[in-house]
Amino acid sequence: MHQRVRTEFWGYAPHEQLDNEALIDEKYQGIRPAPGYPACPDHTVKKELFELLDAPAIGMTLTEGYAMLPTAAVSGFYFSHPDSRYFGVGKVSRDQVESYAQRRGVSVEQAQRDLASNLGYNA
Amino acid sequence: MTIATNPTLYDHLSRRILILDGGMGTMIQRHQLTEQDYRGERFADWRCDVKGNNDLLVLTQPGIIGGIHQAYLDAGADIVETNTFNATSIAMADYEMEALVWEINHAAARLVKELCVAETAKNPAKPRYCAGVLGPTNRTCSISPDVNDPGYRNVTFDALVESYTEAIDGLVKGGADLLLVETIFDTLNAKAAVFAIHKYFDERPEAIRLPIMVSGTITDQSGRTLTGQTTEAFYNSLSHADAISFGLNCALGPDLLRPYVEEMARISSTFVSVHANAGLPNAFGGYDLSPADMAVNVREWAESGLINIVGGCCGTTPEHIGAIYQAVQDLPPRALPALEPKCRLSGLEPFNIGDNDLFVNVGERTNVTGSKAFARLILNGDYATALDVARQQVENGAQIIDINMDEGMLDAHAAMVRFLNLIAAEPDIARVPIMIDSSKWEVIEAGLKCIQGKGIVNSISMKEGVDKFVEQARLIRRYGAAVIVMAFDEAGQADTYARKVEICEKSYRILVDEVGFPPEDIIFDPNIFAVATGIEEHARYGLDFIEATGWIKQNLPHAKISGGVSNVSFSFRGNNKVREAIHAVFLYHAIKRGMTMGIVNAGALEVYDEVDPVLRERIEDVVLMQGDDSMAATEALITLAESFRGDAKEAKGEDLAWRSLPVEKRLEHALIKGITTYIVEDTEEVRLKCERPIHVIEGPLMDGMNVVGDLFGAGKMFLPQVVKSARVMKAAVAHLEPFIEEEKIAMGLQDAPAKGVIIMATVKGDVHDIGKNIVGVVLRCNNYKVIDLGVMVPCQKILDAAIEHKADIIGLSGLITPSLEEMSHVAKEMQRQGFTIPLLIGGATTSRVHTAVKIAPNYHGPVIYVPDASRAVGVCSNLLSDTLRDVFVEEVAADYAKARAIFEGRGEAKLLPIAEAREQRHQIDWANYTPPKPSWLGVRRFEHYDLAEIARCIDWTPFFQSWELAGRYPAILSDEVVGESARALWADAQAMLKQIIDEKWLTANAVIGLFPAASVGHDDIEIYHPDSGERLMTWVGLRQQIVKTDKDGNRNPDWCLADFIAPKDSGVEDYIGAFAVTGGLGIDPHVARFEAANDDIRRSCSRRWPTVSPRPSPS
Repeated sequence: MHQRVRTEFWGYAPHEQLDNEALIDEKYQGIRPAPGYPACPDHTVKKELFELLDAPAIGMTLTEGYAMLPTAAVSGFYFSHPDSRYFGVGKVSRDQVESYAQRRGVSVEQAQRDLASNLGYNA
Repeated sequence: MTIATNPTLYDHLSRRILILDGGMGTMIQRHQLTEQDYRGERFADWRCDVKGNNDLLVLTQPGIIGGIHQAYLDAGADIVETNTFNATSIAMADYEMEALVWEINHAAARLVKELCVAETAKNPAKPRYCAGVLGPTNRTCSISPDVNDPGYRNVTFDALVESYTEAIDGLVKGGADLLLVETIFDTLNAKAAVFAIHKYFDERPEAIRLPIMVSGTITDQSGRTLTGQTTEAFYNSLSHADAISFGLNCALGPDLLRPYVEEMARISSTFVSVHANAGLPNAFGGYDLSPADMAVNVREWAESGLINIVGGCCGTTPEHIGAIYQAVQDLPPRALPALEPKCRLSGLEPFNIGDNDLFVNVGERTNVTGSKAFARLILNGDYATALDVARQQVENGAQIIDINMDEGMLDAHAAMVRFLNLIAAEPDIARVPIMIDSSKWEVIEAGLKCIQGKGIVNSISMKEGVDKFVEQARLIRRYGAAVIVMAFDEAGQADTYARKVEICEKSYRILVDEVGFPPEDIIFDPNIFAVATGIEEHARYGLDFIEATGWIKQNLPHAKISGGVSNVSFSFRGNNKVREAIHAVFLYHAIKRGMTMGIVNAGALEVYDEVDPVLRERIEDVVLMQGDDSMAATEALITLAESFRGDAKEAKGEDLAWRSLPVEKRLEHALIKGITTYIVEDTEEVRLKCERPIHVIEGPLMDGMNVVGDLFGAGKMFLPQVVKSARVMKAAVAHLEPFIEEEKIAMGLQDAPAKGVIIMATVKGDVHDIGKNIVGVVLRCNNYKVIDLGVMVPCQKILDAAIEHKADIIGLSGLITPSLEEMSHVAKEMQRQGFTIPLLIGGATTSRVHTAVKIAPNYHGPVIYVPDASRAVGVCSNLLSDTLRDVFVEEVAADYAKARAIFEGRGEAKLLPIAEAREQRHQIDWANYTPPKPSWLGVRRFEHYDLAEIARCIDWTPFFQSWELAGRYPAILSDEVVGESARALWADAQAMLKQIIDEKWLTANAVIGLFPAASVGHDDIEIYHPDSGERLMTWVGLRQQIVKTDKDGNRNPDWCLADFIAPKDSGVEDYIGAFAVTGGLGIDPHVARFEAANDDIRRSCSRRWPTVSPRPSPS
């Protein structure tokens, strides 16, 4: 699907010619980070993503713990810029978590729970 | 108490290996002295025979003894021992020469000292020292000489102290430079000697405090002293001696002694001495090991950096000492290690508590004030049954046992002594350290005189003033125990946070600064009081304890925190269910803040996660003072508690709701709660559903144990509970084993050649074996020959077995934290002894990171962490495959190298303030870049997507991995070893895939959205409606905060996904895509069908289906 997005729908790489192995090794332009993965560790973002796409219309829903149903599923975002790359956010400090909570409109405690494994301090 | 050092001695020890002299008895024998020779003129008419009283010879044959000393000095000895091994009133009683003890010691020291002084004058660069020897005496304070009464003793601690004091005075006044407490086979005797030495010098401030050497005797290859202690337990017991050296002597030759020397070198914070025998005695009681052979052994120790002082014991001669001196002359001494300060306790085995170790359970049932049943047994004199109570606690996982005999009707002093002496004869109990619990100082002191291990005193405080407190603390230190300090002073018991903190801080400063008490041996009890009493002032009791705990942990370095947990729930007595729930909740929060240990009923601990959530919340309201109205919170809990009324006893019969769960969940529940009642029937039920009996273990039982492991790791389950889980698991496995055997025979596998030989063992110091046993069963099922050495297996035994059985792999298991260290030790020994076979590491406290950081670097062969039994077969088959081995080993090694790098960076990784990290963002030159515009904008759905197209994109490598076949697709299909299996599996999968596609089992749906987007405030991305421009979503982003530089020192960006989208204020139009894809609609019924049929291949294929490379992004 990402291949069709790159070559056809978004079309930023219309001439991409990669075999299966190259595809699996992600030798193409652009990234598709997913909530819950290192570049965007907050699983709760899936809720907004599902609303944006109205995912339930194709039979996809989220559990209370933000797991996708059916379990065989993927969701995320596409970025096209050639500089875009995967990275891990890693540990974050209290100042960022406070800023993050305020921008997301949740309590700091909530944000700490959502980002538990990324906290670079003892909450 | 000051550390006794002789500056020149310390200096020489730091620079070279010092030589101790050799055997005295052996040398005396050469003179073939007669009764007359022994008597000399002075004792010609003595009333009994004195032949064999070697120590007497310093008075009657000083020429002979002096000659022997001189021979050792000539051979190169730096330290010469006085001939006073038996010169105590206790040992001299055999010759009725008690009255001569002081004189013998004095003369013996003077004899050696004069020779040393003369020798030092000849060569001042090599000063010689006179070591005053204090032998073990011929009686044992820890063992009864009467087989019919294990509680009886023919010598007391006080008598030993008195006897040693007399000898010490003679040695000191005779000119000894240091005191050597040697050939310790009963540590309690040595504790008396050390007590006497410290008392002697404490009372004589004018005397020069002599350094102490301590040397124990491992009596045989069991690796224990006569009274049952391991080397480390022995070391811990006497660590308060402040000795200049710790070592081992006698009983064994250098070869058999080596493992213990190595252990001593590892654990001792001070210098290490060894004086071994010249081998084991031959049939004639003589010793055969030649000087040259002994020197070879000793040189190897020195090369391995194990020794600081070395000499000889029985059977060694000046020739031996000369050879040893030559052998080590060019080698450096062992460097003193920097050891982590830990509370190092012991029973027969060591028990060390570091600052960040898991919670320690102290068994509370052997306490007459807490247990009516125990009180009744003691009052009735039924000590045999009382011992069973102690034993059960240890079996249930108590790591220390608290013993309290404070009962009005009881002679607490006598009862304490009797019970402790009886425990000393019970290795199952005596292996753990003892907490001597009394409010009466004289009972505590009586108790301290009975334990050879290092125990804990519970408790002392400033309630009778500072002077008394200081005096008691000094004495405890002299006896060699850790101490619990109650937050109590002359004004009373501390009941508020402020008072708790104030008293603990004051006590700490007095103990550490004034008394010189090691901070790691101080344990505070900041008083746990009952909550929910209905009295407003009591509402903060729980919270105050928890907060005081946090304060102590933060502010009083290395101090520990303990408490009597059951006090907190006192208001709910009679309602055990609620009480246990309160204990679980209270402990969970207190432990998080740093509570080190607690006095608990090891058999009846509830699991935090298993407490009813509503009840848990109400309890937290009360304990943590959540909410505004504490009285209302108490009311709410009391009301709710009524509905949970019902004793733990009754509950067994009533609370069977879990029996209606699916059987797999029932197994999990039984494992977590440690219920064996239904385990056989439940296991049988699952077995009947499974194709093979082994699947029961690999499936639901392993799943359940993994939950237990997770809860343990998260601090929500404690050791006693895990021990119960292990019993349940054992029962389940025992039920399955006959079926597994039967199957083997049915499949004709019982005679098939084994795929490999695997040695398995739970390491020394650890008795937990359930994980190891499961791995054993699983491997045997897969036709490996497993040689299980059991539990508490010393390193050398494992390695010897590996050689004997030509093992292909060694597997180590362990549950408790000290086992981690022992595993590192085994790895080091494998390296030293030239092993190359793989080493597997498993057990609840082991981890990939620990293996990578602490174990793997010690051994050049492969070291592999195996997270659970289900992985064991895959790992072993990879390791034994000629073609896969190298790749697998390399992959693991690379992974561990990464883990080490991350670990080493951890803690030091400074995070930039977010504002600075934003300054380090990746800046794209948007002025010179036009983002491509999608061919359409908005949301599109793709339903019933072409399965065949998806099939072409499947990443098959993880599919093979999930079948434990290592290798990359498609290369794996032509692999020499697994190729055939891989091809068969792939063919099955292809057939299945074709069926899925042809029969349209699956629906693959997708939804794609393409939207205008802009980054705002550096870190967030706004997503807009394509037509209206209305903001649909703000994706709040996270940015890296790491400080990174490349190899040229340039700063690397701190990335955030918003960096890749044009900023709103740049005016550049940019876009973002979003997607949600599923390939699994409609799969569940098929999976269920295969599961029911237990068709793993099909189940895995059907689950594998949607993995169209949704890989986590590399970080």
